[in-house]
Amino acid sequence: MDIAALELKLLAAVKADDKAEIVRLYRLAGEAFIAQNDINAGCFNLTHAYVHALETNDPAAAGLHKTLVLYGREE
Amino acid sequence: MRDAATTDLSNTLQPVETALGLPNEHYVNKDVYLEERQSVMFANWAGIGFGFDCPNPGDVMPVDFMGMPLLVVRDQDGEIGVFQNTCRHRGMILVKEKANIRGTIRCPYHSWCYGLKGELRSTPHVGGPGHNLHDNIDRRELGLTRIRSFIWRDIILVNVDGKAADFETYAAPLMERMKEHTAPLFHSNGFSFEVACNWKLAVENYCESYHLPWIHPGLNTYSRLEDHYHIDNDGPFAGQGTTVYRQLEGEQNEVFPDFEGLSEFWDKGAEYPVLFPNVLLAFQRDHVYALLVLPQAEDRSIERVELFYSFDPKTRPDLAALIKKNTRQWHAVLQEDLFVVEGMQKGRHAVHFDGGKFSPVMDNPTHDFHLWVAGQVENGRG
Repeated sequence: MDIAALELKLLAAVKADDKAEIVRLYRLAGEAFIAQNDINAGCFNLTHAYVHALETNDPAAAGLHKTLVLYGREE
Repeated sequence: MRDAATTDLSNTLQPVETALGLPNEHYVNKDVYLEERQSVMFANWAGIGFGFDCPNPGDVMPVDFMGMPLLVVRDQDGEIGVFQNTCRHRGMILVKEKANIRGTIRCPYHSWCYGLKGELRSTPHVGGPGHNLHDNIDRRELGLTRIRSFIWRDIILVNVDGKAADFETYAAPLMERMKEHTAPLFHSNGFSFEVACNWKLAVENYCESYHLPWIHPGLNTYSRLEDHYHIDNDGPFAGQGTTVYRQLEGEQNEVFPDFEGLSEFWDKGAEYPVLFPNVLLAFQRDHVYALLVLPQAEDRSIERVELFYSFDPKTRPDLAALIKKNTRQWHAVLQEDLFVVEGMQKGRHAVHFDGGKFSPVMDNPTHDFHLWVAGQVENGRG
């Protein structure tokens, strides 16, 4: 995972207020960290994806919530 | 100048024959304005907006109600709710302009998220980075602070302190009086005025018919002073009525269709009550309006007027011109009152003005309002 490249894309998405892209990129980052067994960094990014998904009623919210619950980060 | 705790209301709390109006401080003093905010506006049911302001599920509208940040929300079930417009975390304002919320309301500060019914849905990083839970954060106790609200005739009313009687009890005498007016209302349009006066002067002027021949000579050509009567009683409302209401006609003599369910009285009758503290109403056979007096400061108010008909204006393009004419007419009539209420506001800086002497015959509804306000203020003082 090229975190630097991801961050650049994220900044561009934030600048464009492209919420769907923000959700997608945070999710990608979160899943990548979890794949590396960095659960805290993973849940940090998944949390951001979840919050923006909640805000926009993005269908990704349900899956993100499930993952966060699995790691004890949501109820 | 007296401060809020010491304004003397004894001369106001008298029968109309001997009473004086509220003291000057109730119109020009910031402390008294704030005292009335609590004792009069927040302790009763005040109008803050209209249901049609938020027509769709997810619509949100922030309202600054005398400095109190409120948020009107239409949830996914179509119900209107009113909340304090502040996050339960740090008190940040949640919504700063009208919007449609697709999902949750996200605080722009630390992103706590709330559902449209006020429930707290997410508390990101509240237990540390990536940890969104904490034993001391009980989301069930941290939903948005709901403000008591009621929708009546599409008017959104709130009781901020939560202690007033239920709205249907509070407004029962007026609802009983207007019980024939139950037909659906269709909003057409409206207008507003920014007025350099204390909110009460706009109410007081609306309550009485005494001024009509002098201020509204156009009305007096067909609706003379003697055709008007007082609406005064023990309930939280007062106003005036007429027995010679005349329907507006268009170029082809077209008129607005009547509301269904009205008795013969309304063929020529019309009534203009104020539901205290700030909801000014017009009931007529073929259209109604609501005028909300929205206080901005002790010497500034906004009058917001919205007109409603018995039909959906979108379905009657043939009446569009008449609606426009009607709106223009009410705009002109209500505008005629502005110099009076602004003049009375200036008059309240005259240090020897004693609140004013009422006509025992013509000022009864105005006196009712003064009595009611004074009573509310006294109640607030305990």
